[in-house]
Amino acid sequence: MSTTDQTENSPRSLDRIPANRALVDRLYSHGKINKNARDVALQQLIPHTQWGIWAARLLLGFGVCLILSGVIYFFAFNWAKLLPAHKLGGIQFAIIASIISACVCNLSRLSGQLSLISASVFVGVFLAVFGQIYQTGADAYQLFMVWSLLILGWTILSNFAAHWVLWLVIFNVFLGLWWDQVAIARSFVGRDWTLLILPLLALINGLALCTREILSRKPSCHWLTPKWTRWIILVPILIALNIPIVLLIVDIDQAYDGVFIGSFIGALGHISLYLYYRKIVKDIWSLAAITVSSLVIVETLAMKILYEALRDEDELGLLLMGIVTIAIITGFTMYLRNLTRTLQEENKARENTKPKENTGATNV
Amino acid sequence: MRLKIMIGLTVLVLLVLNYSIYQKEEIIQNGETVLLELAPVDPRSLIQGDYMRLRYAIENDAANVTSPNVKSGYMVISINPQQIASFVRFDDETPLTDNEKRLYYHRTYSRVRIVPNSFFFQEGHADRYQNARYGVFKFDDNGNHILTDLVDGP
Repeated sequence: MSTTDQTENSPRSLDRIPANRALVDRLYSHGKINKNARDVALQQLIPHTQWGIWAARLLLGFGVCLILSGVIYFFAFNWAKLLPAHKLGGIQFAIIASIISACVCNLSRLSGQLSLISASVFVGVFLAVFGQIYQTGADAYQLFMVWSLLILGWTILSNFAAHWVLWLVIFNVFLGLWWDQVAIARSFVGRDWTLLILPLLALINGLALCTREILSRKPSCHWLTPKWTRWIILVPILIALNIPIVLLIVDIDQAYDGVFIGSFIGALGHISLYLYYRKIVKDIWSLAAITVSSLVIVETLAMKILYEALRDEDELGLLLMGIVTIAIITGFTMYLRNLTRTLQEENKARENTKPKENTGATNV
Repeated sequence: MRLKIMIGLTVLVLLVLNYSIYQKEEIIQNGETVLLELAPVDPRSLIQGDYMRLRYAIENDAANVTSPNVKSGYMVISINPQQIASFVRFDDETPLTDNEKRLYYHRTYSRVRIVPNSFFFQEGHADRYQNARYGVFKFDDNGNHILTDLVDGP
């Protein structure tokens, strides 16, 4: 939602318009308020004493870090002297304390959510210590598998994006380790297919992204509406889709079947992501990420072709590579600028056709 | 409602965690002690940070026998009076004698492997385990086992 809508043609009441520096600056630049009024307004919004609060929070953060690292070093130094019961009991005590704190603070508040997240982290710590005490072996995928299973309930219950990010990270680590330690090491799949984990991860996270896109439109899932919840899944997906293509371009002669399949899925993934964020959900930041990923692919391809063509002519080759790189990046930048403009126009046109109450609520 | 589910889940998680402790403690308390000879790994003891990679002599003995073409399974070991285990055969469902036990194995890069293949200890305590020749295992009746220590001799 843009500020112009709110100040010029929104019928909503005054108390629903957020007061911030951008709004005050805008009013001032349009000549609606004078310099004095602007200064007073900014003084109200951002008081001079704010640096004190900022410094206090910074020091609080440092303090928490120092105390926590002190606790960690205390346990690390005395590790062998502690009985297994003390270690495991202590961690369980920490889990219970986190849950009690989550109950007291209530899950509707940030402090309650952070308490629940720390309970999830302590479960992982417990499993690590358990594996060390009972020598369960070096197959770390089991730890991450059990960890993601045990905290799944809390994660679903939390309705909190950060908790889901933690869960997704743990689950992705589990898949990666499982692929390495079971699928490849125990010859369920051949070594030539090692790289296939990347499209696999992209697909699994793509599923998570789909779920996010569907649920974020429901009013009951308002906690999914911030856009970072999209980007934090989208960017890793793009990286997983990108790597096989780049590898294929760099060394097509030694590419295994896994690389070919990975590249195929990668290309398909790029195209479908582009179409989705261009046609259905119009999100310029997602499109920019997809464009940058495509830029890396095109640039690699160009460098490879130039390198092969001008193998004997070092100076000319380097000069041409420089020029081509500048040209490619300029081209992509111009494309993105055009795209931004088109999207803005499309958004404006759509908002004009919609009934007035919906002006502020864009679906992206 | 949400609070009740959260507390219920917490109880469930704690139950799972404590039951797994109970299972392991059961084996350590009541299990039978078996020594598995360690194979010299090359170099002799590869100490990485605070754990040691392990190979067992039994793995090498098993490798010399034509084995069933499976990803994982059981092998039969016999235990001598000094409680040292030696390889007998890959399990073929024949009944075990009194001093024989089943031991789970799996294949990693088509090599026979027994878990655990590592032993954790506190950083700086590497010298205690440098000359270890045997892994001390506790076995329960179902063939579940836990590595509890490394020792220099029986």
